[in-house]
Amino acid sequence: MRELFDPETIVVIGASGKEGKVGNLIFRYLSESKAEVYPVNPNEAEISGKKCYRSVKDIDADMDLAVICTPAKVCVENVRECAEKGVRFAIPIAGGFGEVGEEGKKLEGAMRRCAGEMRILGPNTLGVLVPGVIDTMFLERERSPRPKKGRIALISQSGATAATIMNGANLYSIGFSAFVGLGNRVDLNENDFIEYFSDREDTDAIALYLESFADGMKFREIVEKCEKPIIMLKAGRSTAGAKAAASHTGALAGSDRIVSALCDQYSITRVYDEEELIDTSRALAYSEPMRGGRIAVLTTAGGHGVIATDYITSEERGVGLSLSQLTPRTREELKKLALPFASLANPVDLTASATDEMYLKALKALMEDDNTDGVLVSVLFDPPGMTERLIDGIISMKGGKPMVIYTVGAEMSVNAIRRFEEAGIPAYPSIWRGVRALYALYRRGVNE
Amino acid sequence: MNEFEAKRLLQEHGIEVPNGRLIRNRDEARGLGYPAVLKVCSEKILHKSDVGGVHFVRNEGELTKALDDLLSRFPNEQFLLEEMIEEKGIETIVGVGWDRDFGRFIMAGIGGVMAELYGDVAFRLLPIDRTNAIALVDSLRGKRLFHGFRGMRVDSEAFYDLLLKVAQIAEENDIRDMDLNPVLLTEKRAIVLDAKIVEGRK
Repeated sequence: MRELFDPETIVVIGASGKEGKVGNLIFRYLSESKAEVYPVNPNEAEISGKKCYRSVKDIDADMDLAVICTPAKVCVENVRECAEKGVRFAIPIAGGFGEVGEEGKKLEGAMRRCAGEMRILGPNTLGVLVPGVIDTMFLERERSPRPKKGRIALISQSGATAATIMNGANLYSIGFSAFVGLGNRVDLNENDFIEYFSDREDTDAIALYLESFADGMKFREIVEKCEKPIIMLKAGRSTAGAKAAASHTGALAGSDRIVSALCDQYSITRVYDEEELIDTSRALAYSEPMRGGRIAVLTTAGGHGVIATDYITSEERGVGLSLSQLTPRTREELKKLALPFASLANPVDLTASATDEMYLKALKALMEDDNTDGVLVSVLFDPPGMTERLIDGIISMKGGKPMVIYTVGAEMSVNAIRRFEEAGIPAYPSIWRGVRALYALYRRGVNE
Repeated sequence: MNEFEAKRLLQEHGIEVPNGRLIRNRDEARGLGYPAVLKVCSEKILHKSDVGGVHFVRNEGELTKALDDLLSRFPNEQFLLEEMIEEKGIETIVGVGWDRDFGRFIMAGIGGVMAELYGDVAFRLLPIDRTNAIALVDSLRGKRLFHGFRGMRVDSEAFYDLLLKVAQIAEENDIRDMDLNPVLLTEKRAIVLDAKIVEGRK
């Protein structure tokens, strides 16, 4: 896969000098990579000062990757030429294939047949993105800013969905190790990429968006071997039309329940929306799993402690875990902070009189508490004694037991999340999202 | 395969089923003892109770009457006469199905005629081991029933054994659909009271 994710030579078929054209955008963005990029377009002599070729076959160099920007009908012929040229990977980006009906399916069949040993990603795809290395996405960066480099690989059957997710992730400086848009999967599919990312050093979690499985039996085989956390958003859950129920088993099954069983059985974290997909991927990528379900909560707002307790301990609208019973030693440590109104049982509420120093001492005590498996830390800047210096102090405690931050507020909170993100500590903008992340760490620990 | 054949297959693999035999007329009906259950036994009839195809009988007179009734309505069918199981326990459901993506799966949960109403069942893809069987039961809302609820003890180990045997039978015999409902789980054993099996993949 090196030639796909880090090519040395790229040919852009259908490259264009005209602004606004897909072939222009792709050629421009690819030209920023360290790869040698060759434009192909029979109607142009030169693009951005580079010699333009009539056909890929006219280029006197080996090609790692072809990005094909031509429309569906021409595209198949371009794929054939690339295969004959010996190109290693091709990304036909055009739509108008299997997704539009029978005619398109025939084109896909023709494409598959002429590919030979060349591997195809797509068609109908945004291709691949490795921040700082390669970007085949045809979306303008002004409207669709790319994420920075991170530890999460995103594999998506829908390119547009992934683009919006990565765009939104920029708000909190969330990075990705790579993105792959699967498109119509005439050749390469999710199984190939899960296998690839499970060996890739720069990836600590694999986030999947799927609407269907290309090869379910192979999927089982691959996820069973994968040691990295896999987080899956499987859409298309509702079953259209009731099945004729010949048996109770048939009536009760439905393919979505089988997907849930699969996730339980193979330790895949199943999520139900795009926010949870990234929230959970960050938790599992950045933190060790929890070794039990006992959580300590540290806050400066009493109500936050109560809300968090409900989420942590409730089976309904909660995660059904427990609050840790702090050890006598931890309680002694907390007592030394000597705040008159503070609640020193779990949840630990240092009240609005808290200062950075007290807060960090309390956090240290909780991180060292023998009865606690994970800590939920609220970072609220409303109390006058709490400043942004707190962030560095918390970051310095990374590496102990699992710790999840949540913060509620405006700019200071958004900035805090960015800082924690850069330090590789999972941080979220609500109590619930913090608790949910801890639960994902707990489940991962149970399954290991 | 019909219910009688399905139960023989289960029995051959060490799964408990009620004593019973196939009959076609009054002469064959003697000698099993009472109380007993008489059911129409046909691959074509999927929901026997819905068509009045099940009778509970306490003596020879009731049996004769029940048989005459079934013979008049299902003249070309056979009938399964079985001992009635009266032990206390919980009604569970165990099934096997085929998913087009992930292949054969097993299902288990709270059974009986209300099975579909409660929908408290869980699934695992085959093959499974004992850990999977235990995890499956533990993912049910009604899992406490399997671990002794309000003084009602059941043999949960027998239930795990049954799941493993069902999984094995399904794989070895290429079974597409299996529906064991109810499976009565008592303090001492798991016994399959009704069984439907369809062979082959979809």
